[in-house]
Amino acid sequence: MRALMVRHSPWLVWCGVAAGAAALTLLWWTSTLPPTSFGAQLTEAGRLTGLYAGYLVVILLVLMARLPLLERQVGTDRLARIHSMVGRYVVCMTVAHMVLIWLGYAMTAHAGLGKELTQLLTGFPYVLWAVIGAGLFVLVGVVSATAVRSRVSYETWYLLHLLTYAGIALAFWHQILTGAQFVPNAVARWGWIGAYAAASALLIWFRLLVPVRNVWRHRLEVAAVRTEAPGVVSVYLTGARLDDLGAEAGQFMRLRFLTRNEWWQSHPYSLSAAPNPSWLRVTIKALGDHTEQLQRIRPGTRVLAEGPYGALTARRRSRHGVVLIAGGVGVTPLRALFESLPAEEGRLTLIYRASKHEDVVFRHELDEIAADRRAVVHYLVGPPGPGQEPALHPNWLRRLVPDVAERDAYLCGPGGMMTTAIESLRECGVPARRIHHEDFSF
Amino acid sequence: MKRIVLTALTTITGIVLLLGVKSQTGAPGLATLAAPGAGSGSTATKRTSAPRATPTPTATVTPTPTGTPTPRKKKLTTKKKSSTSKAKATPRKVTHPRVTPKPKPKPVTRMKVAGQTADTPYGPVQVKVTMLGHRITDVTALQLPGGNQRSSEIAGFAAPQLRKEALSAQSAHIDSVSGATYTSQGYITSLQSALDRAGA
Repeated sequence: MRALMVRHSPWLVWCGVAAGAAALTLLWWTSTLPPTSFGAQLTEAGRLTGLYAGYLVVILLVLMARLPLLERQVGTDRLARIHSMVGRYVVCMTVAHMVLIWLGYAMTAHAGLGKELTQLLTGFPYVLWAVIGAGLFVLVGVVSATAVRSRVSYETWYLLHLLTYAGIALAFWHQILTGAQFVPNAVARWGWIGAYAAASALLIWFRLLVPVRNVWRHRLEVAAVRTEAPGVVSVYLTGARLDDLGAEAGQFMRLRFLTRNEWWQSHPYSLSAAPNPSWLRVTIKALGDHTEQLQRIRPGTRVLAEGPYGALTARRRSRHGVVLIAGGVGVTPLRALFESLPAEEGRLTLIYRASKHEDVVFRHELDEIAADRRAVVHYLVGPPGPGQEPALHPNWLRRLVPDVAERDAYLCGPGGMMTTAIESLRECGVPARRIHHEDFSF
Repeated sequence: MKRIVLTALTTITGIVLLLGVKSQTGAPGLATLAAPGAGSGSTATKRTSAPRATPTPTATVTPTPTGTPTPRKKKLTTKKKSSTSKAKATPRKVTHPRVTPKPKPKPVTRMKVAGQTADTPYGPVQVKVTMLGHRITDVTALQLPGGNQRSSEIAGFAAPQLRKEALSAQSAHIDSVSGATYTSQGYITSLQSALDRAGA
């Protein structure tokens, strides 16, 4: 678990986030008189929770902008985890804010709860809007909760998630027009408006304008579709000025296939071959309705691409020797890295774990690359034989890669396999900072 | 699960600590109350209550038919202006009492003095004090924050309390009403200036 947590993290970003929170606390501190009653204490606690919730929403908006810098530095999977963590926190803070303000106001005004609620919803500009916005937050939070998420289709979850933007917009106005920190203080007010405007601008630029610009710039379309294994196809994309995308092996693109049924959703797909100026390739396993449809995508289909994203690239390498550990369809980014990752001759190994022989994709390509680069591929397929340790056991690693402790490790695969592999690598003496992985559970 | 509990506890502890420390600190002076560039707060809030920002003229004609002197309305100034005339923006500071033809048992001067307007983040506060000699007999609010329902709500319960305190303390050295700190501060400032003007 600790190995999962430890990954080179950009301290600058964290310091920026902390500095913002500190500045906000200072703003509250300087603009607040010491509360002298329990009601006033509750009100101030409500104001603080409201301020923090509003601040975290800005952070979420910046996260949603998928800044290339952050994506490369932090890694998409980690950003996704941070997003879901911060999201849940915002929902809790928002609920706390509403309840605390309601109770605090009722106590200081010596009014009944019912009367105060009416007062709040009718007497204050945009508070009713904000409550509706908070309702949307809670709805999205509940649907995204792990327990419910598994029972909701991706489409429902996605469309509901879009409501968050509406919620943010609804909640924004009451902050400016009734916020105790913003009404009397023009500097704070414009700072707050500026933060929201900047975050929204980043979001619109990176999520809307750049992809649309890229449609004209790259004119991506499906060139060919090739079956790799049962339920797994490779889709070849061609377009103009592909090298301008700046994609690297190990990265992924978010692709939106513009067909009548699939145009509204975009999904991340790893590049399964090292990028070159003439084509891109992604490899898609049928896991749901959408990926099922894509198995039959027609050549000529226009594609809208966002990205490239992902931090599982050659930049992470710190040693001359590298071991790649792939699980199932997680081989896709490692297949691209295996082809292009700089490594000392004879010190590049790919361990490919799959449950069935027919699930092994790219076998032919991998063998060819191994022969070309004098690298090694090990296929660990099916359950371990009698008397053998389970696959990816430390003994296996030591046997297959005797100098594993001196290498960088790149991992990609299902969550369970990744955890096992990380633990084994740590046991073999590979430090966490040299274990690079990206999981696809988001 | 462990992380959720930890986060919740950290947050609650942090906020409780912040509030605890804040409660212990002294109140900032009123200089900090008039926030820079702050309007009266009404710029950003819709008025749901009748605006009370127009000061009432101090001289009001209330002819009492019975002639019995009531302690509160005993101003027998005859105004030549019609009552529909515009109220002056600033009330007259000191209205000198007229000598009435009736013999008065107590030759003490009664006067009404308006204090200066104190700006608070939620709107201006101004009070008028009624003095009988050196005694404060009444304090009425000319202006209270009424930017929105909450301000008027708070002002509505704070003003009577502050008046009661001022009458019993016979000075502006009174405690602010909890939950209405800004209003109280403004009230106290305005009251003090009124007392200064009255030379009390």
